[in-house]
Amino acid sequence: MAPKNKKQKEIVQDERLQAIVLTDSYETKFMPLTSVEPRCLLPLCNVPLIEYTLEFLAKAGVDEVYLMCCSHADKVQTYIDGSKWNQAGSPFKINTIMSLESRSVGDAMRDLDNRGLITGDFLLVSGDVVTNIQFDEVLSAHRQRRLIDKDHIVTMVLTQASPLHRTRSQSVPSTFILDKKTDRCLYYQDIPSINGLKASISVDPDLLEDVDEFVIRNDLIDCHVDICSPLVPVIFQENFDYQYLRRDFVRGTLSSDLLKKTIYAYITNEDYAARVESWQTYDAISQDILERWCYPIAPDSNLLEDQSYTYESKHIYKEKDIRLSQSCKIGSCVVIGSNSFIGDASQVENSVIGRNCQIGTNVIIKNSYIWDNSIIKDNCQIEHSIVASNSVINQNVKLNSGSVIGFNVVIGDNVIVAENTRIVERPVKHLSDSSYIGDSLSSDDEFYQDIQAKRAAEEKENIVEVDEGAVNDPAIVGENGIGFAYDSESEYGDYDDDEVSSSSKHYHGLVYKLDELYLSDTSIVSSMPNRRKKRRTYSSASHATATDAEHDYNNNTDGEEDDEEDFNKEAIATVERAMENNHDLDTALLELNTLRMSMNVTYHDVRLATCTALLQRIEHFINTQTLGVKDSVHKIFGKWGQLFKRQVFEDEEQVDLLNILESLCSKLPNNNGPTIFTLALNDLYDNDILDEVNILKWWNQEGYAGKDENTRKVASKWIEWLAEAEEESDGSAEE
Amino acid sequence: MEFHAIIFCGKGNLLSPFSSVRASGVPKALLPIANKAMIEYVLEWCDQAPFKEVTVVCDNDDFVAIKPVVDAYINLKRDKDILKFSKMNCIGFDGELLTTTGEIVNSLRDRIISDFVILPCDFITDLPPQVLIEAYRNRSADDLGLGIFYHNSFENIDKKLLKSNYTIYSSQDDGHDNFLDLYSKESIDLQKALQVRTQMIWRYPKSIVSTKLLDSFIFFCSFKILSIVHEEFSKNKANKSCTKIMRDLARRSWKHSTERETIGFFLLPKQCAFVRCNNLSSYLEANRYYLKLQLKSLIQPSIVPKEKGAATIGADSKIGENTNISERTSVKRSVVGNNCNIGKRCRLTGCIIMDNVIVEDEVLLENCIVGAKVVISTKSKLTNCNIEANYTVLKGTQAKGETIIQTSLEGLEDEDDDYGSLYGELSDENEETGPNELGVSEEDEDEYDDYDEEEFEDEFGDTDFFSR
Repeated sequence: MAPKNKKQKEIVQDERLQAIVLTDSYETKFMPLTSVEPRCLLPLCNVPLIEYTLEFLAKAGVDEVYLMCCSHADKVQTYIDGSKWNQAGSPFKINTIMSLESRSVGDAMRDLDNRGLITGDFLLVSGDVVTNIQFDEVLSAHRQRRLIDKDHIVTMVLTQASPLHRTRSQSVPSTFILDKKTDRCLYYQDIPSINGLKASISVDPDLLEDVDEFVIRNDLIDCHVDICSPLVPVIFQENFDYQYLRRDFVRGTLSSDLLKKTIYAYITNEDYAARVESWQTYDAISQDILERWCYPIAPDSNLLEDQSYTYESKHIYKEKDIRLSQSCKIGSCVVIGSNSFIGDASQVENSVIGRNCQIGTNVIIKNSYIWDNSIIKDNCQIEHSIVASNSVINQNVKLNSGSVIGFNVVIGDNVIVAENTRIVERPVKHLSDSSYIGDSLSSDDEFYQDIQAKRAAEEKENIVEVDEGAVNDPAIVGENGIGFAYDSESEYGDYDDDEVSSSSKHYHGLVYKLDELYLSDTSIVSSMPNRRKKRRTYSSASHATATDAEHDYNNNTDGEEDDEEDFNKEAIATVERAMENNHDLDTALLELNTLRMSMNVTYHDVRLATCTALLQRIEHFINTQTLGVKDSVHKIFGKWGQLFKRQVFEDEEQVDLLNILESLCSKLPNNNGPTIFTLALNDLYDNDILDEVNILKWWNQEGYAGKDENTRKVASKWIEWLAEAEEESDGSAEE
Repeated sequence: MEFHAIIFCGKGNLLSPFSSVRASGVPKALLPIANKAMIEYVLEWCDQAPFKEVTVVCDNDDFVAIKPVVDAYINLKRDKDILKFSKMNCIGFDGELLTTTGEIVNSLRDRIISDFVILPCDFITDLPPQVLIEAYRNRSADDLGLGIFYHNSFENIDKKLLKSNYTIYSSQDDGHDNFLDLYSKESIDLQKALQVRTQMIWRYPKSIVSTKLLDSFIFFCSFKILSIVHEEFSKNKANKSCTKIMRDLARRSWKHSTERETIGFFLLPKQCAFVRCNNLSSYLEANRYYLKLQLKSLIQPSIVPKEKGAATIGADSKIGENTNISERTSVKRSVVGNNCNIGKRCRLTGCIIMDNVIVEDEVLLENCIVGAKVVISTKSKLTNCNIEANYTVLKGTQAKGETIIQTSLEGLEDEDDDYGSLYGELSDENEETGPNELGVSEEDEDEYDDYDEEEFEDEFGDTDFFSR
């Protein structure tokens, strides 16, 4: 009996709650720091990121935690082994899974499926979630919905915010279309950021069937906390091309006709939930924690056992054994770790200072993050920057906004670090965060050897993808400094700044951007001119970040860079396909239209592409001697010329079409061009795509010099005929 | 009140065969609802406000018929007190020259000197105009106008006939709703995609799309709209209906880089009744709605000692003047017009019988609409039928769900439709009520065709969103 079985099954599910933590993001947003440390161990407010996630899982009452590790998996494992979660009092059983070969979330899910660990509904989180949501409510909401809707497989936890909220991911602003009543997710799409491309989301009306009202929401923070049914890894397994959880899986599942599974959203506006997925959100979430937005998660809750933070007014958190000189000024929202020292007349505000840091006199630190064991000498100015552990900033250094100083870097005296510079101790091979230590990399390393001289092998052995033997870059770090600019531009050639239109990239890794974003929160329009300028200046750097992303990602980038060329290619292919397979016109037109919209090109481009495709086809016929010139033109333009009906509307556009056709024909080989042109003209005229008035207009308007003589010669007969025919018809009308 | 009300009298394409799209029909505005011309309800509604000026606008062809009705209303029924400060008049326009409601408004701009309200001639509601006026007055400072939308509250109306759209609006926290966009179902189905612009999503991150909302064709417009519309019309000769103009104004509010004025959105409260009689199904329902009201208003059904064999007329029915109903006939939930003659042993249930109809003995009519001067011969049995005016139903006819129209009668408009048989035998009622007449359309048939993409792109092109 079916109902009974179901009940039994549920009991099994209730037994224990499993959580899968993706410690890797499979992205490169935290490069270059993630080349040294795994992302989930980077400190946020002096606590490794993973702790926040585990804390959340502990509160959620999870029984088993599986950490899917990929890059620096050994480090993660070592950390977990030594943490409180692995001790007797731990609220859950924790396991690390070495999924070293995963390259995406999809891979990790498939790996998970292969291992067969999942027994029931499980919690899928990424290892960078900071949240205080009441998980039991989410879980019960999930279970209730499951009772109503058996096909319900995923509940996504989303928090409400404003579209430009600082904790919202600006790199992938995601839009959810939800059923207004039930919060069932109907569609998902990433959209270009606010000043990015103008685009549109196109939703298949079939997906919207039976829905009376739905909401298009661009104001949700997607913190990637999902409750998934055991089917989810299976679906990933079946669709081996799924890479991303949202872009591929959610969209794929929703639009699948066969699967018929549903995904719901759980929207909360009281709780805090966010993901540290970029420098931008790193900064935002740090500030949120300091301002106690995600209470009880705050520095004074001392997530690590050996921490001893106390809370003082103005959101100042101090650990034991810190030394502050009398004349230093500590502003609001500051965390200072133990054994740190701040010298005379130094100012610190909205910043986090790790343990054992030495800060000299007259230093100004604003909105910055100084990790453990760093030394900052006198008269430095640091704003909107990150200084990773064990680095030394010498005297009179100025770090401009967006600087990221890597581990163990030394910046020499009097250096001014330009905005958005990222400095690493040793050059890094460009890899994703998920790079794994493997032999396959060594070959790529040769890449560097050309540029860089060998250096003594006294370096630490455990460094990933580091090419040993490089010289320091005094232009960046000063004479006595150690470090290199992390800059992949040189390898990837020059990019036209203007073309880097995708602002999704431009947010990566730029702490600096944040302020811009804050601004725009209140006045979107006024801050825009600013940002546009910035984009130009930094696009090279930001572009570089994008280029080292994974292959998939690259495809996107290219698409945005030269839409038009791509469009041309795609559109020609579309038309060719249509002709080859004899599609009906509507289908071809629809495809073309979709292309046009998605790439944001004009009808001119569509016409150009269509003409090119048609002429290619004709040429093909002629070359293979399938048909004669006349027949092939008639065959192609007679039928497929109809495409122009929906591409040509105005009089000027007819003229434009003629120009395109003429110029393309004149380039055709074998001197067939003029003939083909005239024949095509005739067909288009017969099909009422071109009016005689416009043909004559075109004919008379253009100077003789601008045209191909041969074409003109051949076409002139036809034009004469046309002009006569018109006169005749005029004449007869008069009678 | 500070408004100038403009009532548009359309042809009523979906009300064929009773509306003036057929020669035998009357203008939509004059079709009777519970024996009173439709337009009178609208005029009465206006006088509840009352508006400073009421202008009834109709095609010159219909003007001849509508003008006397409006005049009669002004002279006979209107409260003398209102007359002093509220003008009411009726004007005709040349249907050949002005083909859309937008153009008509544009042509009226010399007459309009204040905020104005655009009204259809076919709506029936129990909602006092003050509610809408208050909603307009409480609009946010940026609102140029207010579009009124409603949910269909009548269960019995054939859902397929209701012209619902993809209506996009946004609910603001301060309680003001903004109208953002509108797409017709047909255009979406044609395109196989609902295109939502990202500009809109950024400006209004929480926009709601409804597929069930209906357009009331009631628009409150500020005076300022006129100049914008005029500019638009002189710039490109776009022929747009008022609905489209409002939609374009709504789009204008989010597609530019700088903030533009917005269009308010008002959803009629669920408890009020609102229906537009622009198709036969809702026309029938509107009649029944008044019959129900009549029934409710009778506190105690008067129990008149009934003569044996006399006709039974339900309290939920309405009988016109000079109408004779013979013995043993029962009339339930029906409206019978003036000067009718109903024979013996007939049964009329849920019908609308217009004026001067002769129903012979033993006729069974159920849910039928019977046009003026129709003769239904004895022993006929008709269910869910619509019978065009002047028709004579032959003896013993039995029909179900048919529209019975004239085929050969003098003065008929030339029709392309092939009604070869005596009955227009279209088994599917929808098909019948579809746009088989390609007359000049007023508000009803106006398709919100999709964006003219070209135009749309151009408009975007020069106003780089958010960048200036």
